[in-house]
Amino acid sequence: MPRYLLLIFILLHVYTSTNAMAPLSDDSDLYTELALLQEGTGDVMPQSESDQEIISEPEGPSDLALFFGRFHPILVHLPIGFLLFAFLLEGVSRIKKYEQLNFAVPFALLLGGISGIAASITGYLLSSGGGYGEDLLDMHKWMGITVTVLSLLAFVIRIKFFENFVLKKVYEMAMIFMAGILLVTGHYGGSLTHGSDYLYRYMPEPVRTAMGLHIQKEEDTIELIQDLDSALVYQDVIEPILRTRCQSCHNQDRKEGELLMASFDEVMAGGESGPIIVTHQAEESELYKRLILPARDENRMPPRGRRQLTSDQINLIAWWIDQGAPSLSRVSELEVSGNISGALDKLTKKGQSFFATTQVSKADALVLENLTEHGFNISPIAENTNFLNAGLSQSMNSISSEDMDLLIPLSKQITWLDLSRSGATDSTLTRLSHFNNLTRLNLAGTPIGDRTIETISMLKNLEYLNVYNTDIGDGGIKQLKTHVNMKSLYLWQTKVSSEGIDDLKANLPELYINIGWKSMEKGDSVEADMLR
Amino acid sequence: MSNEIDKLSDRINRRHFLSRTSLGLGAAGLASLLNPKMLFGNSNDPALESPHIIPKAKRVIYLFQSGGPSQNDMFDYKPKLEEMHGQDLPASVLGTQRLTGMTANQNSLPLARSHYKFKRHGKSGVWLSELLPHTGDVADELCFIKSVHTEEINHDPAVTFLQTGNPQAGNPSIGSWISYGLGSENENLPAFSVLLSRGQGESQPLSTRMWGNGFLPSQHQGVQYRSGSDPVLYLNNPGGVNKMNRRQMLDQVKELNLLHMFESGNTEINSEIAKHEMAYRMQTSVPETMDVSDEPDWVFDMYGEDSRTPGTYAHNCILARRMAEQDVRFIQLYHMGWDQHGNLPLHLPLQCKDVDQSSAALVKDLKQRGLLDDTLVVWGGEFGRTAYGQGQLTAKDYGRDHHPRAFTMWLAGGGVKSGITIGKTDDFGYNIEEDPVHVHDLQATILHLLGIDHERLTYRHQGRRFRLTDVHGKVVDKILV
Repeated sequence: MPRYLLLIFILLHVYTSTNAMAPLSDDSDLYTELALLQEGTGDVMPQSESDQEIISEPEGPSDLALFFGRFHPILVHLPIGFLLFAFLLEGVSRIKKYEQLNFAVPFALLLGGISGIAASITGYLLSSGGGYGEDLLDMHKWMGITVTVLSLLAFVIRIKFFENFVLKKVYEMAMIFMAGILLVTGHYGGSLTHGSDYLYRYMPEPVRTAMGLHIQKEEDTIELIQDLDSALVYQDVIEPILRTRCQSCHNQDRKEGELLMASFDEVMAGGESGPIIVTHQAEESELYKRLILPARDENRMPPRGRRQLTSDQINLIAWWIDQGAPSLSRVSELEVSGNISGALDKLTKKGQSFFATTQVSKADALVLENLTEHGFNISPIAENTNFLNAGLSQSMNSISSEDMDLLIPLSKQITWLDLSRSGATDSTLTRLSHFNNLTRLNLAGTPIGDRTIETISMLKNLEYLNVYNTDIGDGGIKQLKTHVNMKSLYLWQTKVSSEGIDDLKANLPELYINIGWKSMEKGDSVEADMLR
Repeated sequence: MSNEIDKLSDRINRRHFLSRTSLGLGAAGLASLLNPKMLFGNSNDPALESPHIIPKAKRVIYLFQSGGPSQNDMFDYKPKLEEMHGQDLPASVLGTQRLTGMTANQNSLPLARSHYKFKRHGKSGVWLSELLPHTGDVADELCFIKSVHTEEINHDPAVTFLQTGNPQAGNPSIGSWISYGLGSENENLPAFSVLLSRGQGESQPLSTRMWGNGFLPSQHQGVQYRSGSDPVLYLNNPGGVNKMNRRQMLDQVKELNLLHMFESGNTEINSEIAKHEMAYRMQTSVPETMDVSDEPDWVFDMYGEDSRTPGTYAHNCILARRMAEQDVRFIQLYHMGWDQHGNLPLHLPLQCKDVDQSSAALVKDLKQRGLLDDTLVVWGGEFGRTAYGQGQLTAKDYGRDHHPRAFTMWLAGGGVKSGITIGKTDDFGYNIEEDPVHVHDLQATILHLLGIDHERLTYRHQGRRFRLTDVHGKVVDKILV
C-alpha cells in the first residue's frame, strides 16, 4: 500500500510543479503559494531566491512531468480499446444468443474510465511541454475528458440505476456519444502527432472529392522548374525543400520549438531560440547548422528517422542564406557557383534522369524466362523500376534477326542494351527502331555501318552510344545532329573523319565524343608551375 | 558414439526437411537432375533480385598497391616538409596516437621532405610528383581522395580491413560480397578474379584469405590467375583425359554429390558442384582470356614494355581490361613492394615505374573502348606513410613508416566525378582537415556505385546478419556524379 501512496504523491507533486512552471505572467500568486508550500515543507531555500529562480525560467515543465507525459501515447490506447469494447458488448448482448455478455459491460466501462483518467492526466502533462497547435489541442483535451466522464457516468448507471427507465435512456445516449466522441478524439490525437492531413494524404482521389477534401496530394513531390533563370529562389527552390522536409513538424498545429516554417516571414521570424537565419552567413545560421550536425546528434534536423535533406538541398539552403536569404529574387539575379548550378539543374526537367520522368509497365515474367532460356542475359536495372538491362550470355555469342525479334516484346522495358561483339548486322538492327526507351546502347565490334545509325537516330532518349570498331562513317553520325539527349559517343576505330566530328560538335557542343585517347585530351599540363 | 552421430544426422534431416521438400522430393528431385538449371538456379542466382538503386558501374577493377605507397612522395604535395626538413614533427600534430614498434622508440621524428619534384597536371591542376608522369596524363579522368584513413597500422590487418571490412581474418572479401550480391554476367569466368604481381621494393606477403569468401558460399571466393602456362592450377585435364571423359566424369560425380546433398542437407555441396561446372567451363574460357597474342603491338607500347612479360603488373593491367570486356564483375590486382621503411629513393621510383604507365594506360584504354563509363577503377594501398623519416635521415636516403591517419587513393570511371580532388590534410600531410573518408565509407561508396545499398546486402551467419561495412560506412556523396 505505501507504494501506491508514493505514486500518488509523485503525481501530485508533478501536477503542482507543472502548474507552477506554466508560462504565466499575471499569476504571481501561484508562485507565492508554491514558495509557501516549500517553506511549509521545511525547504531551507530563502523565499526570495526561490521566487526569482522560478520566475526567471518560466518556460518548460519539470522533467518528471514530461517523463510521465510521454506515457500518454501508450496509455491512450487503453480507453480506446476498453470503451469501444464496452460499446460493442452492450450492442451484441442485446442479441438473445449473446445475452450473457452484458455482465462484462460494467467491467469494461470501469477499466475504460480508469485508464481514461490516466490518459487524461498524462496527456495534460505531455501538452505542458508545448509545441502543439492550441485549437486542435483544446478540442482533443476537452473531448478526451468528456469521454472519460461519460464512461464513468455510464458505469455508475449500469451498476446502480439500470432499472430506472429514464436513467437507462441516459445510459444509452451516454454510450453512443462516448463512442462517437472517442473516435473523433482519437483522430485529433493522430492529427496532433502526425499533422492534420495525415489521414487524408494518400486517400484515393474519388473518395477525396466525394468527401469534399482539397488537400494537395502531391505534398511530397517537388514540381520541376520550367525556366530556371526566371524561377524565384525562395518560392521555387527553397520553399519546396522546407515544405517537404520541415513543415510537417513546424506548422500551425505542431509548432515544434515554437518555430513555424510555412511562409517566408515565419522562417525569418525564427523560433524559441531566436532567429534561425543570419543573412549572408550560412555558417552562423541555426537553420544550416542544424542540418549539418552529425546524424546522431539530438539537435540534428530533420531528427533521426525523418526523411533527410539531400546534400544538394543542404547546399542550396546554404547558398540562399549566403546570398542574403532574399524573398523575391530570381535565380538569375544571384551568383551561382559550379556545384550550385549542378544542384539547380537537377530541379529542372533537363537535369532529371530519364528514369525519373518515364514509367513503363512490368515485363511479362514468362517472356523473360523464355528469353533467358534462349540465351539472353536480362535483368532489372534496379528496384522499383520496370526498366531492364539486356545483353547476350556466353552461350549465345551472336545474334540473328530472329533472335532480335524475340526481344521486341520487351522493347519498352529494355533501356540498356549491350550487343557488343555480337555479330549483329545492319539488317538485324533495323529492329532497334522499336526500342525507343533505350538510354545506353553498345554495338562495339559489330559489322555495322551507317544504316544502323539511321535506325538509331530515331531513338531520342539515347544517352550513351558505343560504336567503336565498326564501319560507321561521317554519313552515319551526321544523322545524330539533333540528339540533344546524347551525352557520350564512342567512335574510336571507325571511318569517321575529323571533319565529321567537327560538324557534329558544332551542332551538339555538349556531347562528349571519343575517338581514341589523345594525350592531354582535356588540357595541357601546367609545366613547372611550382617546383620545390 | 554412433548414437551421437545418429542424433546429429537426425537434426540435420529435420533442419533441411523444409528446404528439401520445397525443391520437391523424389520425382521432382530426379527431374532437376536432368535439368541442372532448375536446381542450380537456386544456389547460383545472385542474392539480390536487382540492384537496390540504378547502378553507375557494372564492374570494378581494384588496383591494390600492397605495402602502403608513400602519399608524401607521390600525391599529397606539402611544401612545409621542405621548409621544416629535419625538424621534429610538432607534438601538437603528432597527438597521442600509437606509432608502430618501428618508430615508436625513435628519439626524434624528423620531418622528411620528398626527394621528388611536384607539378600540376591537367585542367584540374592536380599536384603529382615526377614519379607519376603518366598518371598526370590522365589526371582529368581521376578522382583523388587525399583523406582516406584506416584503423589498422600493420599490413595484414590493414589489407584485411580494406578487403573485408574487418581487420580480423574470416569475413568475405569485397569481391565476394559483390559476386554474392549481383552474381556474374559471364557464366564462364568467376565473378571475382585476382591477379598478383611483385615489384622490386620491400614486399609484404599476401594470403588467399584476402580474396576469400569468408562465410559466404564458396563459389564466391576470388579465383587467382597465375602467370605462365598454367594460369589456374589443376584446371587442365591430366594426360590421357580428354574433354569427353571429363564431362562424363563430372556428370557422374554430380549425381553422387546430389545424392549426398539430399541425404545430408549440406548446401555447401551445391557450391562444390557449381565450382566443378565453373572449372569445366573455365577450361576453355581461361586460356582465351589469358592469351594476349591477339593484342596488337601498340597495346603493349601503351601499357609499357613490361606488359609483354606475363606476371608483371603491366601485363595484369591488360588482362584486367580483357576481363572487363568480358563482364567479369570484380577484377582485383595486387602489386606488392610498396613498404619503403628505408631506401625509399632507391625503391619508390621502381615501384612507380611498375604501375604508373600501365595504370594510366588502363584508364585510357577503358575510356576509348567506352568501358570507363560503367567500370569503376580504384587505385590505392592499405595505408600511407609518415611525414617523418624512419631511421637515419641523410641527404640521399630516407624511409617512412606506416601511416593510417591519412593517405591518398584515386578512383576513376563508373559514376565518379572526374578531375576532382576531395579531402585535405594539414601542412604535414599528417592529419585530415577536411572530408575524412574512412575505409568503411569507401566500401559503402563502391557498393553504392554498383547499385547496392551497403546496409541491405547482408548474410546470416552464426546467428546474426553480417555486412561488408559492419555497422558503419557512409557513401561519399561528394565524389558522385
